[in-house]
Amino acid sequence: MSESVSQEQVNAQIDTPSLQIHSFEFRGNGFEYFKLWVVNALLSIITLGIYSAWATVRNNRYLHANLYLNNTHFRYLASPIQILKGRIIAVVLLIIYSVVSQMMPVVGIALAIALLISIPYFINKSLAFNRRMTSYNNIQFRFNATYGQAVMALIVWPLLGVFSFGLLYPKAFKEMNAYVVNNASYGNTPFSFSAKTWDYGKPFLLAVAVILSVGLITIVVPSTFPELQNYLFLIVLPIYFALMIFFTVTVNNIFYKNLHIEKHNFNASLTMPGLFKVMLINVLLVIVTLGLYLPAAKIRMIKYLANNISLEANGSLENFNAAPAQDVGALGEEMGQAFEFGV
Amino acid sequence: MKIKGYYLDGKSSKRHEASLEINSHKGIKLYLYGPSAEHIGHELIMFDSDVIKIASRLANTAREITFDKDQLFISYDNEGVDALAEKISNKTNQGNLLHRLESRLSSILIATCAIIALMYACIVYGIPKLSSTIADNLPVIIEAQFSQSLTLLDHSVLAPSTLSQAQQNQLRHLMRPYYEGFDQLNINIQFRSGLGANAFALPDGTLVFTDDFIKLAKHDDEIIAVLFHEIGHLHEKHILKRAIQASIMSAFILMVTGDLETLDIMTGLPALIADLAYSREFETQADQFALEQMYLAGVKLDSFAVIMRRLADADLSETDVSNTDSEKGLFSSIQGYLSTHPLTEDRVQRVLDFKEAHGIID
Repeated sequence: MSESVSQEQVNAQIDTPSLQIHSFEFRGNGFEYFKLWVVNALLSIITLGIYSAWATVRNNRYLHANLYLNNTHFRYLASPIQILKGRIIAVVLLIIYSVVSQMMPVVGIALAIALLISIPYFINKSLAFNRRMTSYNNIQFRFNATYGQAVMALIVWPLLGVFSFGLLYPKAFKEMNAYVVNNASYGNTPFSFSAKTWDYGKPFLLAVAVILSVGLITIVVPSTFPELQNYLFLIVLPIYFALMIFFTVTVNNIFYKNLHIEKHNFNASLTMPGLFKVMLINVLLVIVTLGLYLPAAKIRMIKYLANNISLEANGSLENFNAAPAQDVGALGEEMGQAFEFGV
Repeated sequence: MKIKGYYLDGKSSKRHEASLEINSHKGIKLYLYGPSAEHIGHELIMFDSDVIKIASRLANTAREITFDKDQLFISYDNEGVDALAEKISNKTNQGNLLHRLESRLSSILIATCAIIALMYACIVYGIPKLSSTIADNLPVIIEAQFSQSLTLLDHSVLAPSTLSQAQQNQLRHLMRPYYEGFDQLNINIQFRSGLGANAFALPDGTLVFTDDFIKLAKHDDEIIAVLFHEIGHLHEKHILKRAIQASIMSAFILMVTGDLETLDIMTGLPALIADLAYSREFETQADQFALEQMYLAGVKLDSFAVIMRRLADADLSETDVSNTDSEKGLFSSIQGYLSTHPLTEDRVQRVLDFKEAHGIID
């Protein structure tokens, strides 16, 4: 990271202190995406899955090319061959693993341990691959984290959360998001994350309080009104879904409100009713259409998220510079691709 | 013919208004427009044909032309870029075949119908058939891996039986003649308390009967009916098949939807409904197996209907042989689709059908 360059940019922009709010916007539509999706899904089935790498690239290209910020769209750069190689490696490793663990259980256990140890490495590579394959204004994103950072954020902190009976979960959440943001950059300009543990602590305490009171209801009600026992799910299920939506909304809002690049700040204004409406319509239409609505449902969700996430630009967005070309070892790249964990 | 768009140099995020056209060597002439000279070609860059890469067309998204050193030209004039691509390469752009497939109504309709037909065929015939084949050919070692499950259950939801050893032996003695014919299943009868009135089979041949179930059954024939139902699950390798079906189903959905992120609540739902349908199918098979075996062993078939009713009245959901259909009204119609087990009425009807088919009159 060349700090000096971004410092120069900061100085250059002091002359023009203009604050502008740009909302993300998604300009595609559900039917257009459905058309791509259905043709590519059919080709994937006919080719027994081989074409799915091409399908993934076309779908991702569509989703990136229609996402706009400040009138400029994002780009997805991966080639189908890269994706296909990753998938072939994943399938081959899976077959080797299951055959070996059947034939020689001891070697199988050793392989499982080796996999466990290498998971943080793979997640690093996978994040690096996905960031590098995304560009905006012809500048690629980057992700560069050490193995130790990944181990801390992905294994140590979550484990401490478990061993502290959940007390350290807010901290673990914060560390995980900080790992994802602080190691990412746009070109050579790093992102930064300013969330405090307490930001996660507040919604976490609220959720715990709700879960405890629901637990109390499920214990008290059956003993006092046994005839209501069969209708308890009418209370428990809605609260479960409400909590799920609450978490999605809160975690995303905290994430974007604390996401910065240089002196530009992101913001998010997701709401529970807003997200609930999108999810309800999506679930109903997916069920009614037996799954054919899935691609359009994805678009509706992306549109909602994009409309509620914005960037407060403090000055020009034209002064970002590309990071030097990076040649990650091809194997690491494809391993990351193969073990594409949804972080 | 000039194509209008933007140019980015690959080093900074600054956009330049630009236009380009083909030059005499099948390369590209690019004009940049600076802020001071908006209407005239301010700067000119030439590109040879071998550094030019034109992205395939994708719906009406912005079209990218990349040059060496990460330089990029973006235009919304897809028709113009198509024409340019043909001139440069002297052949029709191969990526456009896909674009035509993706934009013509006829191909979309055909693809949609084909997807529906293929999905239906895979879920209804393909996946059950495939998992049967795999389950029947799976080496014994893998099946043995499942045999730890009773230990796990003992540590979590089950407790030792409150039945005396003499009672247990008496029950085993009662059941032995009926399962002796199924040597290869390694049947091993166990009694436990917990999980309400219930009976279930584990893949290694262990059959567990709960104390509440033994108390619920008023006649030996009722216990034999449930014994045969559970042997039916073992005989048809249902537990193994269900596990295999679930993993094939996930792989299948992954392939069709094309990404991992979609594999959430949305795609989980169809997979869950399919899993429940498979489960009911297995229960129906086990019922059928039980009735046939009861008929062969000369056990009174009505006992099957009687014990199913008793279990239903005991009002325990989520257990293996029992199911709830006592809640009439709002939920009963959807329950048929969202249940692991067939409705009790259907199971009683099956007994009547079986009797009719075998000419049994009481």
